[in-house]
Amino acid sequence: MQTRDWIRLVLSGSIILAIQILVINNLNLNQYMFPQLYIILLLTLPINLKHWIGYLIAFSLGFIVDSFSYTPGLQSFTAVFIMFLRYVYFNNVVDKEWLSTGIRPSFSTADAGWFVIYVSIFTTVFHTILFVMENFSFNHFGSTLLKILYSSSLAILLILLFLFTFNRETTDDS
Amino acid sequence: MQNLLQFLRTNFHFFLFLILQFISIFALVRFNTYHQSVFFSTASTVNGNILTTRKNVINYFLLKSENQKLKEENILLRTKSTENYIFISTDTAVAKDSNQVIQYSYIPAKVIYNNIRKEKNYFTMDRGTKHGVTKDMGVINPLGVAGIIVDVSENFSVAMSILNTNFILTPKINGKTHSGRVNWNGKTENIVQVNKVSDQYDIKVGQEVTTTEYGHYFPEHIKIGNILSVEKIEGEKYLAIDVELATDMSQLSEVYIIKNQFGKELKTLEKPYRDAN
Repeated sequence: MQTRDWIRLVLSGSIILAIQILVINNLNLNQYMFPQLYIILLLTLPINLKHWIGYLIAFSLGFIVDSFSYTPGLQSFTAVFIMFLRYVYFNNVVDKEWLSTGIRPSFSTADAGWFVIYVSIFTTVFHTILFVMENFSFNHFGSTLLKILYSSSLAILLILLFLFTFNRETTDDS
Repeated sequence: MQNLLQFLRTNFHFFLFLILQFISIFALVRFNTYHQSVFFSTASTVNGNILTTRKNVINYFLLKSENQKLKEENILLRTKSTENYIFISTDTAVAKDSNQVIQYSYIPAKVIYNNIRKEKNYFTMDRGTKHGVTKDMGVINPLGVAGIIVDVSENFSVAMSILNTNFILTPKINGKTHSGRVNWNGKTENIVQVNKVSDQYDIKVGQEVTTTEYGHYFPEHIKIGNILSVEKIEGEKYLAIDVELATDMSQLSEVYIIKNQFGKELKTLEKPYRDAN
């Protein structure tokens, strides 16, 4: 990542974290909807980003969201884990040539169909891990399942909408 | 060494991942009350189950000696039963009336974990609050005193062993209460000491040391052990007494937890005066 990538990350990070912490966390739509919009930052990091930088970014983002929602460790655990899964995916499934281009995944830099599926799967997995860790046991699994279903659907919708709206901004440097 | 460093370097990313995950889990369990309680209750259930299984296996191999101990206890009980006594005086009638209330009752329990290799030893039993066990109850085995309950959970309880340097009891020696105290010095297994007994008393090797009601843990006359050696401490007015425990603490298995029906009442009554000292 170059300096301007870092500046972009800090700026867009502040905005998205502010939306997450100040608006979405206080929405109270119903008892099952807790979408985590901030993982948009993790999903759109360059695909050839060094692993340790990725982990530290994920941990810091999780830590910030945690400290504002009084759940130390919960979001940071999930964020670091989703970062790990993302690397597993990119290192083993995607072809090497494309990986070396180091693009940020978005509507315009990748195939739109692939991108929608990519966002959907990782968002669902993220919310699954998050709510299982939050519940920390397999009691009341029904309500956990509903939380996963509602929250990840809403999050996918929000993330795709968000990226679609600000598509130009996230792609003009690739 | 070179290989190890190389290994660490090539897997640096993965180790960083593990470290960050560990920090998160630690924070999750340490700082969230809910996660903490789930973690610890699960851990104690798992521990309890593992220890119970281990004990079940060990118990199987100890069946023979356990049988022997039970037989000995049966003999002891039989000699104590009223059928063995003849009323010599015909003018005293035995009446089952309401002026007698049972003070001590017994809860049978199994020891599922025991250690005697440290200075402060504790053992765990498979009875807890669910079975009526509370703190400060005495624990005996068929042959003598074993310990005092210090902590109770729903299904399990932990007792301070008599082989614990913090364990203190007031003894009766040869049937007479002495103002000394039974207290292990942490050295030899199954040998405890009686301190602060004045040298003016006639105490001999082989005399029986039993419990008193002081402290309200045990009924009177529960055996602690027999005196192994008596020596006068140079320059002091006290005796150094070694007592060989009646209970073999390394083989502790079947025990009884003693419930004093009036324990709580007595403790509450005495509390202000005990604290005053």
